[in-house]
Amino acid sequence: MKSIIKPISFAAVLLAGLTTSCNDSFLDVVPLGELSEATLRNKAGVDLVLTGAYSIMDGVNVGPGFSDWHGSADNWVYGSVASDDAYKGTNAGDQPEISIIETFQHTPDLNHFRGKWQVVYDGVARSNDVLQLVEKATDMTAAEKTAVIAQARFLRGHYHFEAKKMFNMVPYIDEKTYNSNDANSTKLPNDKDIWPNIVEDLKFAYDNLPNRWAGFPGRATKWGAGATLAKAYMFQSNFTAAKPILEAIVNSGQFRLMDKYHDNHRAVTNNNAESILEVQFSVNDGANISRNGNRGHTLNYPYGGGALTTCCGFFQPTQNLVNAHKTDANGLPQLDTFNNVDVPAENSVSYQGNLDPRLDWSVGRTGVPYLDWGIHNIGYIRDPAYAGLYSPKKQSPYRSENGSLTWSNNPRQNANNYRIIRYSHVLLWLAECEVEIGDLTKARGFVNQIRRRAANPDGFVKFTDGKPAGNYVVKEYTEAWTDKAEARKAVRFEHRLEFAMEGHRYFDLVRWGIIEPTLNAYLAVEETKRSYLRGSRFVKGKHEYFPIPNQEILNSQLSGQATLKQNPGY
Amino acid sequence: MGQNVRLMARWAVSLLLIVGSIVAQAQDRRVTGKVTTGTDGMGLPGANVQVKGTTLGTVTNANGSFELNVRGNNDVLVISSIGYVKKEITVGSQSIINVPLEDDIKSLSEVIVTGYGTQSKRDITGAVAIINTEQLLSVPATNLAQAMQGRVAGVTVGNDNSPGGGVMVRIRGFGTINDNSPLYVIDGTPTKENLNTLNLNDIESMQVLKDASAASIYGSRAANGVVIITTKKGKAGKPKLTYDAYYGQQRANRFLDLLNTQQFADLLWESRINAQNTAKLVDGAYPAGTIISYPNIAMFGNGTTPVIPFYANPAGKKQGEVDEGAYNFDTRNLITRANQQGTDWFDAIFESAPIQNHQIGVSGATEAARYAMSANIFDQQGIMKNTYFKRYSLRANTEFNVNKRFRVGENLQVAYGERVGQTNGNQSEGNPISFAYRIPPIVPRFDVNGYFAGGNGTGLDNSRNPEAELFRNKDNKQQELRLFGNAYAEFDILPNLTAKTQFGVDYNTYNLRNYRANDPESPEMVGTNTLRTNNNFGFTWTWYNTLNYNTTLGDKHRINLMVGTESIKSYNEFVFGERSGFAVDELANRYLNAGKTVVSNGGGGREWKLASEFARANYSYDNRYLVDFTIRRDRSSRFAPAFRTAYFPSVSAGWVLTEESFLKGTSSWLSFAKLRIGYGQTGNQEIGNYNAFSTYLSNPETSFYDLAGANTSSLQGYELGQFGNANARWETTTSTNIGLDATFLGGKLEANLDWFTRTTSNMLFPVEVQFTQGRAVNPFQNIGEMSNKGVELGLNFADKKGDFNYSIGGNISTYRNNVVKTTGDPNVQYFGFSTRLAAAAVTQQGYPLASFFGYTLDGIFQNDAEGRAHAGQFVANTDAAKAANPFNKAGSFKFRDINEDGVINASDRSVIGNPHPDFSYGINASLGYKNFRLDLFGQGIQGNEIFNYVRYFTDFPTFGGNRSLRMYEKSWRPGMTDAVLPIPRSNDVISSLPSTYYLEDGSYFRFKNIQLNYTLPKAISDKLGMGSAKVYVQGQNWFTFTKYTGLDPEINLRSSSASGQDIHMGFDEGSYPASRATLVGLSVSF
Repeated sequence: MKSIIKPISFAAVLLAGLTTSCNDSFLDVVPLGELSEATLRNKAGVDLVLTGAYSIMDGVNVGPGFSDWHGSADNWVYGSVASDDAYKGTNAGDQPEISIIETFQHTPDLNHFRGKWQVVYDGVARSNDVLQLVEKATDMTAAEKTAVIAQARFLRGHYHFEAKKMFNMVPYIDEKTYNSNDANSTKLPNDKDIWPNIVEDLKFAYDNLPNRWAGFPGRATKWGAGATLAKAYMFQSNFTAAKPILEAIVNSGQFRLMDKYHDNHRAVTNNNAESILEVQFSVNDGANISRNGNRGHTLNYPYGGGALTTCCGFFQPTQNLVNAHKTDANGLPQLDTFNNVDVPAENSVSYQGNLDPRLDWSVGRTGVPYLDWGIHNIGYIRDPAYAGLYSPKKQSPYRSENGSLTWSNNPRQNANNYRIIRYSHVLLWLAECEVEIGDLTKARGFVNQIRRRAANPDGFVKFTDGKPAGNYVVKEYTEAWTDKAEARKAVRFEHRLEFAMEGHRYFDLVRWGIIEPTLNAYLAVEETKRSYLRGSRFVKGKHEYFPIPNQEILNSQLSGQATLKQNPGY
Repeated sequence: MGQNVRLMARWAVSLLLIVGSIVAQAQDRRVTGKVTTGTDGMGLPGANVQVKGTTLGTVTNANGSFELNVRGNNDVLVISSIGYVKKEITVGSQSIINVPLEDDIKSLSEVIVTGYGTQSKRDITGAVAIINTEQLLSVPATNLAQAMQGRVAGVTVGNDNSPGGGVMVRIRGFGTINDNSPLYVIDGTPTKENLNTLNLNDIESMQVLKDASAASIYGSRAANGVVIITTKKGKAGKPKLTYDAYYGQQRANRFLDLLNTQQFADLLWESRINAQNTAKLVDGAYPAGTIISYPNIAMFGNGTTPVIPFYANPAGKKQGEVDEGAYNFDTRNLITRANQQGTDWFDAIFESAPIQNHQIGVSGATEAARYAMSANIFDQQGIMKNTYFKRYSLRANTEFNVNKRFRVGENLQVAYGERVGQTNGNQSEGNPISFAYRIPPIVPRFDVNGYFAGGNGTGLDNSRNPEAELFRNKDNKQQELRLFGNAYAEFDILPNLTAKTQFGVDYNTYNLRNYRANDPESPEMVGTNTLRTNNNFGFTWTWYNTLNYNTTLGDKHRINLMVGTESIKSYNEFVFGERSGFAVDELANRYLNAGKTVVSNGGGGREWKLASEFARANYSYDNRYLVDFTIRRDRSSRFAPAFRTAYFPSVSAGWVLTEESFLKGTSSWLSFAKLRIGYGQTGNQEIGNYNAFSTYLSNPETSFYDLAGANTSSLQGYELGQFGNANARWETTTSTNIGLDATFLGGKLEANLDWFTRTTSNMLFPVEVQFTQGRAVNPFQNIGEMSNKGVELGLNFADKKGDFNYSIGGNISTYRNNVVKTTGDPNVQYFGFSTRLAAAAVTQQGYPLASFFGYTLDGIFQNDAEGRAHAGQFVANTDAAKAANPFNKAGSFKFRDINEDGVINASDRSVIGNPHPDFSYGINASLGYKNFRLDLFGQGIQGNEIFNYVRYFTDFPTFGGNRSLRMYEKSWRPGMTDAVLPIPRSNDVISSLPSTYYLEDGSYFRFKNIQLNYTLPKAISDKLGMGSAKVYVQGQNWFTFTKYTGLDPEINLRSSSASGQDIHMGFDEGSYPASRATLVGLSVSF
């Protein structure tokens, strides 16, 4: 009896199992550890997404298949290596794409361009996410909303600006166009000049942001937005529009030049009085491979020989840049003749000619102290026969800060912020404005402010015995400027010296309209020193802008038609 | 109530018997006879003797004799017994009928485990490959999947050759751009996890369900085929104890031909000179009187020829110039003498290594229970130093007959696996194999102080010391514990109606403490020691229930019906932590708590669920016509509710030709022939778990920002992490199969031929969203289509003559893969992985999956005029540009102007090669004489191409590592018309672009196994108290025939174990070579 009940009841259970199928709720799952858009439609959520939009100010958030430096905020590849400031460096085979860009053989399929495109438009999308969310938040005051919107619009303007200066003809995506649930929503043609849109965003930010955010130096301010807006006007050669904003910044009294030039390039003086817009880096903050610690620059440190770092030897300053730092007997730059004779690369400390002291903060030279690492030597260089003996210096951390202001696993990731815009930019842009539409004396005054600071002997690179590491002679322009062309040349030259190796040079040469003659003159000489440059030439009408990434053109298709068009010449 | 039922049943049975006897008494004749075996004439007990078309019948007794009443001369007796060919005899006037039964062709009567049931091989209508597990297991392997290579037509197996490394299995080509790995069903419990922790010695039988008609009962997970594995169960009899073991030595097969120090320096000199004096080259030479500049390199001096120094670090120093006493490890003042001859780094990292396996088992069965238990230890040391895989496993399979109708049982394995692989894994430019060619030969293995030498110093490039890497990695064990099994109960509701329920579990834990000690000898020294600990666990349960009904209507209609339900839930969680700054490197100190600085930590979880119902109907008419229908409904949590449900139907039919009268006369040579045709659909749901959702995620790396300017902390942020696609539906693979199974010559020759097509429609593809939309994980969309067509043939012949027996078999298969549609735009290209080179694998409409993509080379310019006459190579097509361009001069590669626009640039890339083979095959042979048997097994593929990416490092002036002998000898110099490489020039970044230069014929044939067995004569083993005893010696991978120049021609995916890799196949990025092994083995039972 018992023996049969068991099987029967078992069969009953089984039949129940067979006939009652799982109901649908069994199949409902939600992503674990992630949030939906709905949960973020409030003040706290908006702030989290806004922080996310800021987070790629550093240009680092590329997807699989790309490298962190492709989008790096300091544009070291596009702004400096492609210009006359820097070589790719290291050895011949490493990162050949950069060699291709350096020698003007680049094509639309290079990963670098797509990496940059990716980061700037991700920034745009994140800003638009904020703008859409803030609309939906019900627990925020109008003022709170405006503060968020102004920051998001600043960011959106900034990211578009990066795209604009790289690729010129690019689409402008606003929060009305963008729909994260419709992949086609942002397939817009790149047939319009988007400067007006950029200006509009930056203007809104300029008009609505506070002077400063107590305790949050990383947030965009009125002045950061204003300087970016002025810069956008400078890129359009709209000096009349730029000048009043730049003057307002000067008159605000919020900023001054630091006493020492080098304070713009070290972690302990981050967010200083000269800084107007700065990318915040952080280390040992829980990020797995320290992507917040200037990963975009990670290749650009000395290679060995007792250096603090052991990799990767990229981004070596050119002989041309070093020569540009020669000064004449009056302590003034040799605007036209600087490249006729080289500052020697080996035994460089024995060089007795006059030098601008900024050289040894921008360039690591053999025999000269390299921050507090020791004396820069040939061992710092991966392949001296390939790209010379100089090292980059401005983004390097101090040995004494190792582990505290550098990532505990690797000092190449460090907290030495990249200053996108600082007060010296404002002064030199003003000088440009004065040259173009104003008063040459005023222009000279602005340039002299910069030179006066450079001349501060406290700010020189010194040996341990206190002696300057070079024969530094830098002086102000004392003679009145009478020739507009000469004045223009002097202002532009000052730009180069002040911001050497900071990723601006190429874009400045383009906006000044002198890139073709400048780079081809540079290449004609430099190819005799660096054999791999032989035959490289800048092509006018093509190389002013980088190519729109090929894959992005392909992916922009709407019903079989690409919405994006390639730039001329590619 | 129960009592009543039983009483009623007794009554009914009695009644039937009475009626039966009444009917029987109406008969007039009694016949007697004996059923014997056809081979030796012995009486066959238990054979059925039945009067055709009636229920009258009997069973033979212990001698094979029977007695039966018949109605008349026209009655026909049907005599049958399992394992013998059924026979029909017309009674006629006989009263004594003796019947010899011929042996059935054994293989045809085999009962095969298919989806949720069994079928006899004779009745199968789908494409099912039955694997000979004895042959399969004769070759040592870590992983079952690995052992399948070459054994089954239509099954492609790749693996990374390292102990416990990844294995890839592909059935009938590649059905999708997503996951192409099959579903494994082990004792009824499905899994897609790695099989390393499955002890292969426990396997009793294996089938591969290749087409939809066989596999669609597994619905949404069956599109890539299903491998059915059944583990050993006890067999009737006393407890049987078995012990199986082998031990062997493995060694590396071949290394690359690289340069010694002098050759290295000479080539470096030549290429530097050419770089520094490019403009002075005329037709590739320096005209007499040309003043050329010589290199100035710290290591080799600045003369017309390089000088090999005494010291490599400090670079270029002569003997006596360095105070070796100043060596200081802590300040990194390391001193290294140059290896003037050159270090053979392959020799330094590979060694002869043992492999062994021990399996002890006990099994048996009584009326009430059957049982099989085993314990196994497998230990394979890698031929690469300090790598290994070990597995310890226990299994217990039991089944109890609670009563005649009710059975319960379980199958359970617990296994622990431990592995140390090479650093950075297989197919990586940062693994020891790659460093073995990337490190210059001048670097010795050890420095003056006996510590590992390395590239620290000037001019030694950035390679790490591969031997040091392996040494430091030796304790970084990946540890896995896996519990895999199920419990079931079966109840015969009626004699032919059986219900079954089974609950299976798959539980995995994984732990890795990965410690990186500091490496001062490396040029790019890490600088600090770090430990990262990973812990994962995953738990999947599968519960299924089936009802199975069998019936025979009349004697010609056999029907089998089955219905079932199944539900699956899978959950997975991981956590990791990392710290740096450990005071000492000792093993006992390698725990996170001992680290100084917290670097990072993280964790997450995933889950998915599946609910299904399925049914099958088999019908057979007269054993001649067979039909099979299956259908499955799946609902998956991976799709949004509206698109969650899908149906996967199939139908197949078989026609046993040899049952037809028109083929009756052929039995002398054709024993059996069956034509099969099948059609059906299967699905794929491997698209990640949350494709339907748009989600925001928080990640310190990409969404945090230091708004507070704190430098050492950052504020939390969120970013859109994934674009959801709530409209994604199932990917459906529709397949058609036509097959023929035949046996000839009384079963000596067996042949299986299949033709198939498989088309995957609505192929789920992670369509790249243009970046103006932002960057987030791309959603899968149902847009693509891919097709595979192919033919498979398997042949086996076995015979014996006296003491001599032999068998020979083989299989050959082809598939033709074609990406029918990506987005509909033929220009859309989806690229594989980029390496140092731009991605050179493309998936594009109209081409096979992962075709090679790049430039086409048309030789090398022999003089400057030829160069100038060609299109501008990466310069404008003007005389001035070309005159100044070194790539339009003698010695340069001549790139083909594909688009004929006069300029060579990125637009001249096209599909240049195919990683898929023309066909693949396996051959095995066995020769037995008395107690000896010789087994041979070989396997090969033909007609595929390999992209030999290693050449990027060894054949071009990239990085500063060692170079190939090919580059040394076959680079172009004036007059050299058979050169294969361009003129060496150290600043040449163009010649190494992806091109046909990298492509090589990947065909190979490999003798995987040569084995000589000796079975102890029964008299001796009896005397020793053993049931049987066998010893053998074995050679594995002894001979390989290939033209491929890399380490090994078995190149498959970049990572054989991960999914999503199939868009980049056949790339040799420094693949682990297969080892050659010699083993001895023993197999005894008591």
